[in-house]
Amino acid sequence: MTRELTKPEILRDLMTNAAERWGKEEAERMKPSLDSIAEAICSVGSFRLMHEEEPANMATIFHQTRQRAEEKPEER
Amino acid sequence: MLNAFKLTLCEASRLIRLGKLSPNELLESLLQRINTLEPRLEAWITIDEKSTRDLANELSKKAEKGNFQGPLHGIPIGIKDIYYTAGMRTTAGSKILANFVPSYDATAVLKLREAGAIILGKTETTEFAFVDPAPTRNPWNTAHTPGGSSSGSAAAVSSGMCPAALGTQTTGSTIRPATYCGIVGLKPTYGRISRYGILPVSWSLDHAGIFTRTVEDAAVLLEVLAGYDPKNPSSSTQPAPRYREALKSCSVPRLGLLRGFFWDNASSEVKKNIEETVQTLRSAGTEVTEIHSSENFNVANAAQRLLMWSEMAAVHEETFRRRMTDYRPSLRSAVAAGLLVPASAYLKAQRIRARFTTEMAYALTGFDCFMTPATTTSAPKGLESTGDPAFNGPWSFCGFPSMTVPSGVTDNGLPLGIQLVGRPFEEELLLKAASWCEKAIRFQHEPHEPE
Repeated sequence: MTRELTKPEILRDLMTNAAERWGKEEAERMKPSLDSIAEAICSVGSFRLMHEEEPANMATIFHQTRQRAEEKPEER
Repeated sequence: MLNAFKLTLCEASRLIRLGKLSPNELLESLLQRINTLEPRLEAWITIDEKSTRDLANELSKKAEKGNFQGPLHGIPIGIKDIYYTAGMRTTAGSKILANFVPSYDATAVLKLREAGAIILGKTETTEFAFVDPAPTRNPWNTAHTPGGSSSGSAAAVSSGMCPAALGTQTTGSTIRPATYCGIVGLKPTYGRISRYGILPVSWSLDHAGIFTRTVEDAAVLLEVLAGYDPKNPSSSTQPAPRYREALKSCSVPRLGLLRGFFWDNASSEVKKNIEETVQTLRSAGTEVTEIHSSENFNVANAAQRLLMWSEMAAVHEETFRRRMTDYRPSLRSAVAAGLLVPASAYLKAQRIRARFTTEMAYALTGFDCFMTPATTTSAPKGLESTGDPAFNGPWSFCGFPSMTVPSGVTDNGLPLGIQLVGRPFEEELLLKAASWCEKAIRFQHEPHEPE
């Protein structure tokens, strides 16, 4: 089992990938955007969810939402 | 008629039907207004005066004979420059599409035309509706941003260049500029209005948006625009009610005031305005109950950003390979960064979305709408940034309908607004609540007239 990556680690990985793809100079220029993405990945990654939680599907989400919102909290 | 540009959509429509105003007169008043203000505000990319005059002439003749094409007969409307307009340039504010002329209309544009509207022109947008700013200035103070990405639509409606305009919202691109410009903004439920023919930012987050100066005008436009479109499979088959008719029977709304995230991130002037507005609404009989909002709004905004940047990168990937240097700096970096988001992070964000949507539906139990400040601050100074969409992103993320109604001005004379959020496809209830609030607040400020 591995631990969650920290934001600096995620940013480092993104910077490495960006440099490989677009060159070091472009990667440096992109750093604010990559920093923002690293923060979002870190925040999303550390958020705990029940393993039954499936990805949202916008075509059906409101139907599911209505059903689940009508359930009592302890049933959810 | 003198100063016809000041009329709201419903006022102008009523006068046209009574024969007291012709579509020609209304259009000329608006064109004159645009000629006066456009050099200062830069709200428009394209205006086709000849075509609009020809159409206004035709619609004036029909009106003289009592022949009205639809609820928008002779009403000029501005369209954000990411909607396809047949025969009229659609540039998305980008050099990449500088000369692109679509051969067909977006479904929303077609519906407006069928209802008798005059497509007045295309309004300024940030590049591809992301964050690189448009040149548009805020009519309330030209040193400030009008917000974005629907910058031109908000500024044009606010300054009386047109009574209504269309925009879009992926994070906060309708509600935020509407608030910064002191007008009404409506972002309906995801799928309520067809997105066919609208250049995508992010397929699963994009919404059409409406800008007007009154809630009733927004109801009229939504009634025209709502409905299933087989050309846009993610549009909803839910029947669209008669929204304007619904406003005739407004009852006292039950509002849940979200604190927590929406309080911690609001400026002092915004907090003061919300306190005063709550007092006003309570005095008018509204039930306002405070809810301490969950901490999930921060993670909702983070997940929303991952979805948006990933999908935006996918939208632009092919063009980006060939024309990377033609993109403006923020979009260029965001597309490149979006291409690096791991699939597992994207899917986790979608799972959070499912959870957040359920939580919000549950939290709405017992209320007609949530109420929050519409923006963290008033319109920021300068044109480099279009402001912070943090209070709007969660509602684009879960797809719930949201509206803003002006609620006051700062000491510096910049407008502020409340944001109301309803249940999916319950725009009827949302519009009723917004109408009630509009009547209780009685916002009567206007941008300064040009010297």
